[in-house]
Amino acid sequence: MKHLTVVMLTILIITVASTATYAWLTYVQIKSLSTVETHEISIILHADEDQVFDQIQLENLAFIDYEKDLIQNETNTFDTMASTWILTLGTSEESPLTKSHLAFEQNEPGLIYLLIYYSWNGEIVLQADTLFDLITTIIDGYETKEEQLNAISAYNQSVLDLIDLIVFFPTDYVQIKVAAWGDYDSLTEPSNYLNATFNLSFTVESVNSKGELPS
Amino acid sequence: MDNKHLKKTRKLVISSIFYVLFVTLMTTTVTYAWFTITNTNDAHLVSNISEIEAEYEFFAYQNINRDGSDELTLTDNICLVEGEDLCYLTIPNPTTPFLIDGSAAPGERYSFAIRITSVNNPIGSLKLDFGGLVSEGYNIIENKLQTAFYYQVDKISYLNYGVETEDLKDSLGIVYHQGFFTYDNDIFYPFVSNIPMQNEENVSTLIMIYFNFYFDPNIYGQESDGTPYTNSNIFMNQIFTINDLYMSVSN
Repeated sequence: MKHLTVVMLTILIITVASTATYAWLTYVQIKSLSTVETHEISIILHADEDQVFDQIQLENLAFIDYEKDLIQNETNTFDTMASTWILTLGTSEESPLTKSHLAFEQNEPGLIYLLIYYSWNGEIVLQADTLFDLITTIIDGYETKEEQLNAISAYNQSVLDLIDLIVFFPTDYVQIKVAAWGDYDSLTEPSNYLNATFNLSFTVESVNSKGELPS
Repeated sequence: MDNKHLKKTRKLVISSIFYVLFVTLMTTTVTYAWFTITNTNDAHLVSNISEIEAEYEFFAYQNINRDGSDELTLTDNICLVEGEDLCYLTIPNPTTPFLIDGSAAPGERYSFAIRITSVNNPIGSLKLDFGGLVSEGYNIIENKLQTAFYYQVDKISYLNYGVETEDLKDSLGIVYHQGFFTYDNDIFYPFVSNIPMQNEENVSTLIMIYFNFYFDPNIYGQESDGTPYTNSNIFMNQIFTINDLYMSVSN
């Protein structure tokens, strides 16, 4: 009987000690951590109010005499002769952080176009009071027409390079003003200028903000 | 009743009492343990279970560019106003998973920090583990969003008399793990363990653990026949949740 009592007490002590030790040795908390969601990159592209897919058909384009209308400014009508539209590039509400690369390509000689970084999220960025002021600033210091047209191309490229650097957060948008003139002297067949057609193609390639844009 | 029979009966009664007592005690032990675990899901940051007691605060680093944190400190680096960027935002009582704003994309990094305060000056060690992973919206299990995430410890430090120590994760016998989550949801991911609850001066202190989840842009998933994809697009339109972060302190 004594023997049994001793055994029982021993087991009791061990068990109680185990119970207490379990509680004493371990302290646990469980908390929640995080949730992430992924969505598709969603780009919104408009020319003025119209949804754009890949190509803008230019109509009612006015032709200028490069020397008289721009260099000499004899008619003071350079701005009014411009065909302009606003290109809007943005991301949807559910889009991840995004970068976009724009590229323009013209298929025929005889078109002068100027890209202007116009606004960011509706806030207008003024480059110059008039198109004439801006373009004369761009070509200032260049002697020949070829050099001047190259300067305009370089300026356009600098605007596109700027777009490359932008990280679009959801609903962000940038607007580029595109101004175009027909250049009568650069046409392949100047006498047929009334039937001239220009296609200004552009592409938009978008990646998430950590991805690599095409150069 | 003869003496022999009486002795046998008494022995049987004593044995029965012993077994009943033993079973009762075992049941108590198991129930206690079960309650101990269950109780940890309550909303209080401090559960006073026994001599060992600790509380912790959870922080999510705010970086609109999703580059994670390269300023691994909580000292003067906690967000004070709503919408503040490049600081650690306190997530009070995280009983539901903290939703990272917006849409995640490959190449992004999300940083977090946990600050643990030891109470009652315990002499135990700390352990953190992940569990309860869930991905939603995948086509085959190999393409679960969670498989593209890499978890990593950035820094483990102490706060001694208001001054945060350097990174000590490679010292004091601390063990830490890093790697990709697998597509098996039932896996328990050991994260950090054997972190002393006291600093070298044997003084009760604060422990800071900084870690991040990286959405690896080089994980592409695969087609149903096993052919690997060449981009991360298969992970679009999914949701990935880490439901549980286990913190345990033991002697």
